[in-house]
Amino acid sequence: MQVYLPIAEMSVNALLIVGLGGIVGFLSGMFGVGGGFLTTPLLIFYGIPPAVAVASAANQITGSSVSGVLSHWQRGGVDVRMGMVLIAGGVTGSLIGAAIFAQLKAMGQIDLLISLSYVIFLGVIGTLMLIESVRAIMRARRGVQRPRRRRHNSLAYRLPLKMEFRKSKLYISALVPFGLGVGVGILTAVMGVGGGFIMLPAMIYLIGMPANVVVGTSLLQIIFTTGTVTILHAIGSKSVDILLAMLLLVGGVIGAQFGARAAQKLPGEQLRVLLGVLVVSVALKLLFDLLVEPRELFTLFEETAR
Amino acid sequence: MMRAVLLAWLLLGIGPAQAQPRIVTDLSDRRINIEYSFDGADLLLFGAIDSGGARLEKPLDVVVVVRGPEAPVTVRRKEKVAGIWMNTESVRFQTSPSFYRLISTRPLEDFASPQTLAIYELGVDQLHFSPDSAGSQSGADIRAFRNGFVRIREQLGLFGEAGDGVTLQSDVLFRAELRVPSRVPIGNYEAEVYLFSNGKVTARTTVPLVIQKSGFERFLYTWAHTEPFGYGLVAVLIAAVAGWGAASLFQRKA
Repeated sequence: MQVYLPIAEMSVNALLIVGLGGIVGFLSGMFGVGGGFLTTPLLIFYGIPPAVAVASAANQITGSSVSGVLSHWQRGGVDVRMGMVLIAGGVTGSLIGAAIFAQLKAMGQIDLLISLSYVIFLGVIGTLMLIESVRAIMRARRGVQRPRRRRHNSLAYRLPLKMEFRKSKLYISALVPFGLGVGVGILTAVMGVGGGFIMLPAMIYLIGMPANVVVGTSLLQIIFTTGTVTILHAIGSKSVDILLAMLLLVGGVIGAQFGARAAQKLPGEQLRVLLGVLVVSVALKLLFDLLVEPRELFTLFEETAR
Repeated sequence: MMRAVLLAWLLLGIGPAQAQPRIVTDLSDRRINIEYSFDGADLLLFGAIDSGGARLEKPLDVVVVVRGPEAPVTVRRKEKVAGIWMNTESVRFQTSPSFYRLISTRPLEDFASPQTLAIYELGVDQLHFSPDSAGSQSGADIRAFRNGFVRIREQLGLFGEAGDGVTLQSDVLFRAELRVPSRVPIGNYEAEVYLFSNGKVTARTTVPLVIQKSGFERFLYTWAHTEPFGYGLVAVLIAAVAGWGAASLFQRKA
């Protein structure tokens, strides 16, 4: 069933897009990451202009994050205070990121920036995931149960502007979560990702938050940051396609529910290896596209102001 | 206005004999509305030749050109920089048609001289793209950019020449079919029809075509461009509500 997307100005197979959203949603429900880092590259592979892919994926992530945060909220797994500081950083970062985005779009280098960012981040994260999950499997085989210790980064304690975060049982400098928020905000604006895959380890190891509030709080931050990015992109490059985002959302929220259920039944460690492999493959494909001579050397940039 | 001038020119040009050949044409759809399930359109152009009593020299040929709105375009070329292929040089073409499809009864070179083609700007090679002189590229290099531009447009079905697309019956009735792709620029188009009599243009006419988004698609597009903040805000709210709705729906089920 073909649907014409008014902002992307092309017709797509609606079922394929819903399916894409569904697969990514399934993965996000299973592993707890937003999945945005897969949505944007997959949309670009399909042929959607990168700027539209980034902006519409951000819009979709807002929806799926709202869907996910509710169950965490009910279990008391959201540190609102920490979330506020993260959001303040996120909004600031989105402004910076959106400005970078607009500047590079005008220079005609936005595709390059998006591809390079994805190659680097997916490559690094994917490799880390692979290493971590392979180690976890080997540990489980040997039967060694390593106690999970919360490593406190002393940086968070040394910097000024300390605030008390009761839910996380922390009294640390607010600059650390703020800085993290800024970094994630920039990434969200430029790459169309939620940033969860960076925030989760950073919250545990950099800030030192307890595991039970990490996912919920990061989802809260993602909601407001992706929301801000959506609005900024709508104003700046006019590249938010509501129809595309809705199609992805339908697939995404349904897939996430199935994914969360599947997570309980299937072996976690093996699946994490698969996810790591998937992420690294996407990174390699993007890298390949950058290094190999493209079939068409020319691209067009139309200046129509209709 | 243009048609009046054209008609006057035709009347003056044909000479003392009162016989004036003319060509009339129409489209199956003068307006293509892009709606939610738009996947391209099949356009039918048809018409008739009226010799007006004059004796038309055979052979007769009909050339149809569908032109889209003109807009400036920047063409960028990739080069290998530090191992990575990235955009480096660019050429900006000020006037370039966004859509140019030419269909004729026979390949142009079989009946028309290069001079005639140049005068009437018939054929992709005759189009004026007006490259910006700001760049430091040579003429041959600009040619490469121009060819790249045309090639990309051709692959999208926006540019093309078909030397057998017009069927002419009994030297009177003609028809041509054109496939308009889904990724088509919006705006005012013109379909120009030329009557060639033994290689010379003897009559000419145009018919306007409008391609626009309509209904919900147009509403979304216009809204996104005129009130971007409101559009963005609503996009976020819809996503939030949809996410909330989906979560509560599934929770109640479980």
